[in-house]
Amino acid sequence: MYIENFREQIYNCGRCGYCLGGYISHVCPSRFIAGFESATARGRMLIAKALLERKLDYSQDLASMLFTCFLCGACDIKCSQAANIKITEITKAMRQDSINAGVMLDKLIPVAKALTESHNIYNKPSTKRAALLSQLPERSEKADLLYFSGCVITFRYPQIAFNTLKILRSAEIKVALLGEEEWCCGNPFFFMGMSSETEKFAVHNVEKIKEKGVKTVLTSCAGCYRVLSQEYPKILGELPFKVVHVTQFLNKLIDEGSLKLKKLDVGKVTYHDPCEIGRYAGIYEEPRSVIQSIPHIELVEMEKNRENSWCCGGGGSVNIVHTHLALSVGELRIRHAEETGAKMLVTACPSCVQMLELASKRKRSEIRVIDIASLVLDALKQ
Amino acid sequence: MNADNVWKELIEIVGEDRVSKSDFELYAYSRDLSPAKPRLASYIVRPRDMEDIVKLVKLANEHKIPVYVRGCGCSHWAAWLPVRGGILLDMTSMEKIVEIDEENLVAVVEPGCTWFKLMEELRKKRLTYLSSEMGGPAMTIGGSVVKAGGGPYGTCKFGFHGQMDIIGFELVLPTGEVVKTGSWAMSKCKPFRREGLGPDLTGLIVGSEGIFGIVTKVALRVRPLPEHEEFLYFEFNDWEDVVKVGDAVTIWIGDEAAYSLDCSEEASKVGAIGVRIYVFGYDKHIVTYRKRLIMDICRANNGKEGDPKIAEKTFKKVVSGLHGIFAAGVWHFAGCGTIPIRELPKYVKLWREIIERHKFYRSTFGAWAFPRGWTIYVHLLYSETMEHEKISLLSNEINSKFFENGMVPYGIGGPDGLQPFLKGEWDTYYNLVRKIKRFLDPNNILQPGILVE
Repeated sequence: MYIENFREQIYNCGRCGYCLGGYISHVCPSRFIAGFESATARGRMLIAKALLERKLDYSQDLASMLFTCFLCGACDIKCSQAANIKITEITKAMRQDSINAGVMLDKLIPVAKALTESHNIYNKPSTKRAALLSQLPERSEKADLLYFSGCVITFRYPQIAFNTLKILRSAEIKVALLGEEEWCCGNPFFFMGMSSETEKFAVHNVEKIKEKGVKTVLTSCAGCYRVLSQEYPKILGELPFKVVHVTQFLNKLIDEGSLKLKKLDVGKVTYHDPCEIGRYAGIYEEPRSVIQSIPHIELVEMEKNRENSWCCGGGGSVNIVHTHLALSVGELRIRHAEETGAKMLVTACPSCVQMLELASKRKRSEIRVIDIASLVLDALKQ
Repeated sequence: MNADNVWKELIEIVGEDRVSKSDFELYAYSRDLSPAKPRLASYIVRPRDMEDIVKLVKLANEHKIPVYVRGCGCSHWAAWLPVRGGILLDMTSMEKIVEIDEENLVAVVEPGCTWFKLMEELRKKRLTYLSSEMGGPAMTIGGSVVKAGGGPYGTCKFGFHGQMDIIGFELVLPTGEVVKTGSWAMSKCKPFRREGLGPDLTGLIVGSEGIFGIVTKVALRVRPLPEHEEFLYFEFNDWEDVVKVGDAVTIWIGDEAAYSLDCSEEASKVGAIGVRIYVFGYDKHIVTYRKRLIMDICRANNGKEGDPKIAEKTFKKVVSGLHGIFAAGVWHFAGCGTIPIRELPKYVKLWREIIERHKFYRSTFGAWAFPRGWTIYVHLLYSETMEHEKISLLSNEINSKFFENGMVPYGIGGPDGLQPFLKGEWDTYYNLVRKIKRFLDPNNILQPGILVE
């Protein structure tokens, strides 16, 4: 069992309840949607103990419960105050053990199949990926920088890629693309408990990036950023290139004076921290700095921000298994944004954009959800 | 009992998404903070309101099923572990702050509301409550008051919960009737006063460990947030000196000099006693006077002044959570209870002897003052994979010795808690409690096996 690797940590949970915080349903989105103790970090540690002691077996019900966890890392932050247990890692290990025990949720099978067969989560042919990328306004074969677009941007939000590349052009930066050779980063496999499957995706993508001879890989996706920068080195050792998230890159360009931003009269805006660049990587200040560099914009914070941020509902593959419940998490985030008085909710991950747009529509909110590159491009155009 | 019928009726009462009998769910609710072995309920139910609870209690009576009541599960004394199976109520859905009455200085909350949440919401109105337990942010008020909990925060001045700060309860009796206590019992009266209508039945519920009824609302005394506060930290080498400080600080009953006085000694540093003191008030001159007075008392009793930030950190984090406290292992508390003001050194001596005999030095002896007494505790840090048996033996020895010497527990719990150590220690009172329980709960459905057998 994979959870054997975490035995000491699992037994070290004293069930203190720090993972729940003082507003019990408002720290952990899993507890928020499921309500029961099994949806809390400490409850899951008791379940892990029972699994280790062979008092419990994996079942469809248990697997379904494991997929109420968004892997957002909020409990890890809370537990760092107490026992420092790596709860999200243990949850992923439980998902892996569940699959090894022959228990896989039906709703995940098509996604796993799509990834294996088409190397993207939407089961689109690779040629489609290439076709989409060929429509990008500019590419440079000889470049130090490669833009890794990822599945969600390529197939759902190509505008984010277009906008990012337009910004790069205005800063006179050459950029390469993988085109048809780009595969999914492999993040969904981690979420689904199939992390061993990621290896061939890592090997493929790194090989293709190396062939381009670039020094830096840039991505607008928080998930791709986490996997490329944190998981690939675990699989393949040190990478021959740097991985940078678009918020870091834009911030650097603005600092250097390479982007001249003009005023944008959009009033108050608020920023949503994507979990995979926030809690997982500590990228909190760069996106805020980018937004505040735009004259006339007033950045207002939601009560839950930075390491205490609330997940958009798009993490952990919960939206595949418990779609409506995941949307309710996004709806709460929209409410948080509305409470600030902002008219615009900026974020820096296509999955967050997708979930928050859906939640906003479902809630009939007037708040506009926008990717950070779109905001910056608007400020360049003015 | 027809299990299928019970299941259907539970779903009818609370809805499908609020009841579970999944094996993994039962394990998730099987332990509290103590080393007690897992105890499995048959059903987990999350009631929404008092009406749900009335129906659930009636169902339990009809089918003779035990009902156990759990807040956020932070008990150290096996006070809710379902020792006879049955229904385990998770009260955390009932977490509302119903009212903050700024005129009468009373807050009415549902039992699943945490101290942390109440503190945050009161602070927005420049209010605070009197005293609370020391623990994590998830401690719920309902669970805390039915066991008459206490911690170092405010206890030096105001004593434990229930001494004066619980104004009244709304509760569902084991047979399903709904009762309010204190001034709240009057149909046209708000909760503003605890006494007045015959005996103090609020007091019957405080410390009852949930055996006489299920609390559905708690009315608490609140007060304006103090404008001024001071923190002091002193080090002592002798507990006799610490006792003299506690004695002097609490001698003026009703006008105790300190709000909180908390001290401890680690087994690895015997003779190094840290004393943390918190003084608060509304008038700067009074607070300054009290601070000077306590400093003089400490100095006169061989105290060495240290960094007041140590005390500030402790008291400011009492409710929101101290940092890194569980990083080195799981905590267990033994020898927890109250003793008269002068008896402290006797218990320190017993602790030191036991710890030395077992060569177990990951332990702390702690005490915090309340008016004319101390609450004491022994904290043991252990590895659950390697030392579970050892810690149980050690803890049993500490409990036995402390109770033999007259310590009064502040939480008893069930057979996995302190109940076995108290056999024969409180016979007449025990029988009276059991008689009341039998009268109120003829089918013994509520918390059977907890507090009394």
